[in-house]
Amino acid sequence: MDQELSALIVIFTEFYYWVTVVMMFLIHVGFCLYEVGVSREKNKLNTLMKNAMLIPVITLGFFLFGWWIYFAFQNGPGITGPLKAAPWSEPWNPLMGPHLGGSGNNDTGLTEEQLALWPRLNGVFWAAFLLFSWTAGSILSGAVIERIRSGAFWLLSLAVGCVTWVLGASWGWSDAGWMVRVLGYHDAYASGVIHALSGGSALAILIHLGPRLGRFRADGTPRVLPAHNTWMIIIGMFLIFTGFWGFYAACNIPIADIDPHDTTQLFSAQTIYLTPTTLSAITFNFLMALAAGMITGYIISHGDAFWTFQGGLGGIITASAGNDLYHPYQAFFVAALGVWCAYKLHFWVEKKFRIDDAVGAVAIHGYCGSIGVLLVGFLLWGYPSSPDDEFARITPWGQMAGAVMMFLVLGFAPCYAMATVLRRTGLLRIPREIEFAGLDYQLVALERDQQQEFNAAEQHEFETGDKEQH
Amino acid sequence: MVPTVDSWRNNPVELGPLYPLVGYEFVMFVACAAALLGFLVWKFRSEDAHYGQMVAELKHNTTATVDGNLTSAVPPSREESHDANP
Repeated sequence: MDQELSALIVIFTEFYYWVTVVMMFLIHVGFCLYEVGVSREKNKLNTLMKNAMLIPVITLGFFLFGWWIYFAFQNGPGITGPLKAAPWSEPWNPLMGPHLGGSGNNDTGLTEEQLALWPRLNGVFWAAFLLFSWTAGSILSGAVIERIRSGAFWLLSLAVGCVTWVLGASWGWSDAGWMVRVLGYHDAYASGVIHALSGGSALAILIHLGPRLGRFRADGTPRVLPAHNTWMIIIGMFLIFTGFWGFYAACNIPIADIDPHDTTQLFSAQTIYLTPTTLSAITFNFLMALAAGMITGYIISHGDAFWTFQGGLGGIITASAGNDLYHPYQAFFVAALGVWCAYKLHFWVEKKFRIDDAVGAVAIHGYCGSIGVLLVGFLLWGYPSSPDDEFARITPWGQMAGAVMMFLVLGFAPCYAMATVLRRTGLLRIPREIEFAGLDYQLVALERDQQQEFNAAEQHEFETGDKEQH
Repeated sequence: MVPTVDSWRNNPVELGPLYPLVGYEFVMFVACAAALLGFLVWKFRSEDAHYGQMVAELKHNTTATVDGNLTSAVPPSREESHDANP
């Protein structure tokens, strides 16, 4: 019976993650729509391809080294222990492919107990994390549209999607990460490890990239660049909200025996830290945070559609760090505060430092994510961060250190260094002439020629047919 | 090529990897890593060449229209464009 139950749990978990991956795909569809909608007519196809092609680039990188980094670096290494062995995630291990877990004809380096799990869960866990990686890359993508070189962008997104965010997750978003163990870092639905980190990365790139031509007046005030398609933006945002459900689900382990003493069996969902939670809990909080963010965005922007929807996203992101434990009212007010602060910060930074963040990504992901991590320190002060009582408890200083680690150390600093090199080698920004004419410049010519050719052929056939009839 | 699985009627508990060429995973890993690296290098190089060509076209086109004023740049015809999607 135990074996049957275990098998059922493994296969249910496999299917559960598989479904979350499908749902999370919608996040990327949403990001593509949203970015293309924000870009101007002359850049829309390039904007689409820049974002879409991060899918294959990050997928390859995450298979080749990202997945291994997540498991191997949980101790730092050197902070709480050495590099960890994680044979199932090595890109040449037989378990990184179709495998039934049997002993025949393989050398996986796994114990029998591990072999019961990893052959079925490796691919779906990998894919769930991979979709988070795409999100990390997409967050950068929106901020830098209409002037970054695609090659530079893919290299930067490879670094963030397959190295820096994975390190953040390894350290602060795993059941044995050193930040959880030493700092009591708590970030249940990845406010910090994905959003603050990617927002910090985007800010670093934007500093080097500079604003789009004509974005700022001589006195430093920004000009508004009208979006090419508001409906694409709104539908994209709705799809991001929809995909976010999959993201939340994928952050949980759906079913596990949570009794630490093994005296009875009590099954529940667990967070990434192996602490108990329920899908009901996160459903309450997800929706209350969304509501707060949209209301705040609507009020503060005087009903602007873009910022209302962005506010909804920012609300969820702010509350996510503590959404496993908050009461829905707490999620609501945390989300509202985060969106209000992020909105104000966005316009202050934009004007003060001439940062041209085309979609407000630094604000909605970077500032909201960081604020969310900080607020957990106060609202969940004293909570255990892990089922292991030897781990540090949640504290404001632990969360503050975590926010700095995610936004600045893992987010801002590596991308600032990479963008410096790319800028100095002339590989970061497109030439001014092309920026002015539009990145789709040649496609416009091609489409115009095709249209002219078609029109001429149509007219010719019409006239020829006319003569034949007479 | 010798198939990894001889028969589906064998004891499934003994079935491990299902794919062909078991034992060559590291070689495939190196090939895949080379493909990723090669793609990025190709992108940087082709992008450089493509942008250079586009800028030259734009400058030529602009000079021919209104004395270097880019506001009147007209896209070249298909014959002048070599690659539609940089």
